[in-house]
Amino acid sequence: MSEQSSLYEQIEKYLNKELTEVEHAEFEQQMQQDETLRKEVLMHKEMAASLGDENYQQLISTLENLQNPDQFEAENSKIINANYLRFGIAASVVFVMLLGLIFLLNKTQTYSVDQLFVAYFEPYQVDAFRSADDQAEMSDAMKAYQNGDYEKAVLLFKQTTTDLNSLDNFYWAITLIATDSGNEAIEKLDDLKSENVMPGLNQNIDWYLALANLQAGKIKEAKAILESISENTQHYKSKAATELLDKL
Amino acid sequence: MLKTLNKREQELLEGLLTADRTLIQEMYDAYQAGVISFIKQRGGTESDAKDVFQDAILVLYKKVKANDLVLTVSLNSFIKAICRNMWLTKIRDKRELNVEVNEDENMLLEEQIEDVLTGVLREKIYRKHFLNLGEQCQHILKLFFSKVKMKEIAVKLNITEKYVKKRKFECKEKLIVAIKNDPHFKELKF
Repeated sequence: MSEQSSLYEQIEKYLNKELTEVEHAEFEQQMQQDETLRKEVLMHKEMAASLGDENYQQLISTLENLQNPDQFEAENSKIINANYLRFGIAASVVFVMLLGLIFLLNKTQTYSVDQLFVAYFEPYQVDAFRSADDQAEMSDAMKAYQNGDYEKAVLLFKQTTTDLNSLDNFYWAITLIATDSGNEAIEKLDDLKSENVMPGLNQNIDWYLALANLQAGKIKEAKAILESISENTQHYKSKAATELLDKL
Repeated sequence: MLKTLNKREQELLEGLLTADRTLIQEMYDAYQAGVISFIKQRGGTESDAKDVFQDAILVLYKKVKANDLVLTVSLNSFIKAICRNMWLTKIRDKRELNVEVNEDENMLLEEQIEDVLTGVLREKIYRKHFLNLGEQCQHILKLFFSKVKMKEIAVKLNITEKYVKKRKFECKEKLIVAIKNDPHFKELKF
């Protein structure tokens, strides 16, 4: 066992109160004499408490989302978004604008599944809460995503050879929806949902899963997800899901 | 004199503890505008104000969770005071702006929030590097930090306990190295 490994193990045992009384006292004495060790222990303790606190992590995600003013425009029926112009899926600018007008002016009209998908799908925003450092570290795929070049992003995600984290996979799934690959997106979002490693994004995953099913023509599955979103009044898309169900 | 929270304030703080999106949105709607106005009047931008407000909410969460929130004013005034203190400290420390700082104002709550705020800033760095880890690393560490036993993690991930231990160490070391190399982390005191 390396020195580092041994130190980490000892710190973990200390924090988990697994040391004997004598070892515990010795370790505390060591900390009193060694400022670097004291800081190291504090960091381990703080890191575990923070990253292990699901509510806290969810709170940070929620705050990050709320800081992004564009994220929730669709909830207020502002279904025409400039991002749309960039991802080059089915609708033309004119079509989207007309659809927006139709939605705003005549809510009783019936719509095709494609129209509804186009009206409700908006890629998850990435730029608003990324620092300059984060942006410098972003992969090329993420840069393409951020620039709204989803065709390029999807190719780059596929070519990535390094270990992608859950967040990358989440963006990859959105990219797949934006490039009309709903079935692949469903697979990816289902994986993320079952892994449940990003509690702060669970609601977003559900929403995009519903839209991916809609895009793939799996109306029954889409409706089931939308119903569960609609029933959860705490869900950030509860209102949108109810509207969408009414129109389906 | 201590202030008793009214029903609405209690609801908002409970919403904070459970990360309730609707109630947090209500906090934003009710309290953020005043903070933005204050910071913009003192040389900051709206984006600065939003960052400060976000950190203030996290500080508030920590205080509530630790049962360490002592209110002598309304929740609104308390949040504004935290933000005011954070912003004035920031511009004073960085000497970015030639701003006259009222020491009485600046001292307000300083003792109450300084350590918590530094902790919050460190934790944001932990989170940033945690999210940069690979999927498996995040999964293992998340379970480990949530105090799930190694044996259970192994069953959950369908891998051996020995491999979980090995990966846990590798992932944790990778995370710690990234954190320690973060220039912002180096600036924060313990």
